[in-house]
Amino acid sequence: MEKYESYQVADFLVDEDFVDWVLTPDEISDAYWQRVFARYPDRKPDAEKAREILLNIRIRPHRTMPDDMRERLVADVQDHIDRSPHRDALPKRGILLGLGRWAAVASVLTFMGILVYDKVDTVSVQPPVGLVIKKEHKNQETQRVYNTAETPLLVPLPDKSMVVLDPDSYIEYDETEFKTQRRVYLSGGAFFEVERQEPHMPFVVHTEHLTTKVLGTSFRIAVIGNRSAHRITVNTGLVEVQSAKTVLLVAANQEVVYKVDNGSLSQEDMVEYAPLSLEAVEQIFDFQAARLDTVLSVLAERYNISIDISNPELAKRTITASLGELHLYEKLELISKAVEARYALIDGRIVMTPNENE
Amino acid sequence: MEKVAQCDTVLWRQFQAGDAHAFTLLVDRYSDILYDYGTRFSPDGELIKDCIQDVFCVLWNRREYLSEVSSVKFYLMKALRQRVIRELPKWQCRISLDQPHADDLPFDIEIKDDPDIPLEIRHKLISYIKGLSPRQKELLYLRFYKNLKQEKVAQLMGLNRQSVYNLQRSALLALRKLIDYESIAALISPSFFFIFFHFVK
Repeated sequence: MEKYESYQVADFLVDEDFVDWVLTPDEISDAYWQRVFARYPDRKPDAEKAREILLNIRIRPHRTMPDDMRERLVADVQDHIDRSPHRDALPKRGILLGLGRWAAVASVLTFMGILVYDKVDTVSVQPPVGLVIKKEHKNQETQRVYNTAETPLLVPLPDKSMVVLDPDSYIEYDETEFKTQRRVYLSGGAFFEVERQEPHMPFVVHTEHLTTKVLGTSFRIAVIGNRSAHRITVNTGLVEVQSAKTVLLVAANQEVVYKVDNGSLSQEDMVEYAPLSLEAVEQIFDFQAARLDTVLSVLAERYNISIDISNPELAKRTITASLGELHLYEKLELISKAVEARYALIDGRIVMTPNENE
Repeated sequence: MEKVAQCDTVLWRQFQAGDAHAFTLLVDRYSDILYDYGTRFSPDGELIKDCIQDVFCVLWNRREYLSEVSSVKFYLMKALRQRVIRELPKWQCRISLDQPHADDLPFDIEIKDDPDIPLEIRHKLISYIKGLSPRQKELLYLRFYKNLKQEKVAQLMGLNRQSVYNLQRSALLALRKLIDYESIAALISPSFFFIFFHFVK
């Protein structure tokens, strides 16, 4: 913050935080700049001048499309629609399996500290958000984690990889087998953050039609339309996708689509950076003396998960860190250490509580 | 024509489900914005109209396979920009034999015809704009007119954030060199300016 002490109009004008705040203010930046000017009130006049300049850069707005041109545009597009095969509104997916089918023990998974998969034998009082079924089959023990909630569910795997499971989806894996062979079956959609394992143990996700193999990376698998297609989007790293007929290598910020009717697997251009790619998160996860609640809300938004802070005093503690390239659990580790707290995974959401004082 | 104020997200979902009417509403809603952006790359209105049409037609074909979209406007602008980059070189007479580069893509901005702006200032602003590169002009357009965040501008223009920061910095520093801020600040409060003007005289 010391830099603001000698700021003049020109300095404010090229300060990206200041410009961002003037053009697109929000609660966080409002609070930040209030603090800055409380500390350096004599900078206010220069800041005001800079603000007025920014707000008054007048570019002549609005070249509107001539009316006749717009009519032709709409008509031509309409023409194109009429000539192409045209589906009616798709029926809603009604997938939820009746709970009666799963006559088994449901256990709540509770974790403290490092995100290591650990069994807890207690039966929860509330209905669990992530329904976990253990199926004993021959000598193997398969875990199926089913997301019965309407919000995504955070599921850790034994190797510290992490899955954010979409509603109405489930994953299935063998816990003991996982140490030597990392294999997961997925039905529905999920986001995966896979840890590199030494010696190079690939992580394989099987879905109904595709096999996806990775070494260490993050990617998302989604079902599209009325299950007429599946899409795999890669955020970081490299992934090998295999269908019955084709094998494709997919890199960061690329995605592939598999169409069920003709079994084709093809790469698609992406218009935006993948949401958690290194390019998209550049500087999003750079924090300078940021409050814990701010940091965690950025995390929650980006990963699409829920994170709660148990204690309002804890929420105020600040962090300075650059977290962009770390996987989620590494980010949580670093954050917890910085604010002297610990995090727990409860019912697929993260809860942060302060360390016990001596 | 009466426009129903429907949320973009709703229209988008309906369009993805195959609702042609929702789709034409989207076309109508965004045609001006896309036309304004597109014609800054080329004054050829018909060419831009064709590019916009292509963007929407491809969108319709791929409606079931589209990713989730956080901003329809941003998505369409980026798609249009990509298409213009591809189409424009086909129609321009190029003297050089080099491959067209995205950086060469022209961009046009103008100063508003505002009677409040004194002629002297207006001339300075016009020569300022003339001295800017196409990418600097596009940056000013996207940042100060469309109010996009730096990250979004970077994604739209296919640059990394540092490049965007540098572009903005150089553009604003060039503005500083050409025009002193006192006279710009005076623009905002005309009474102050008149006093200043007379004083200088």
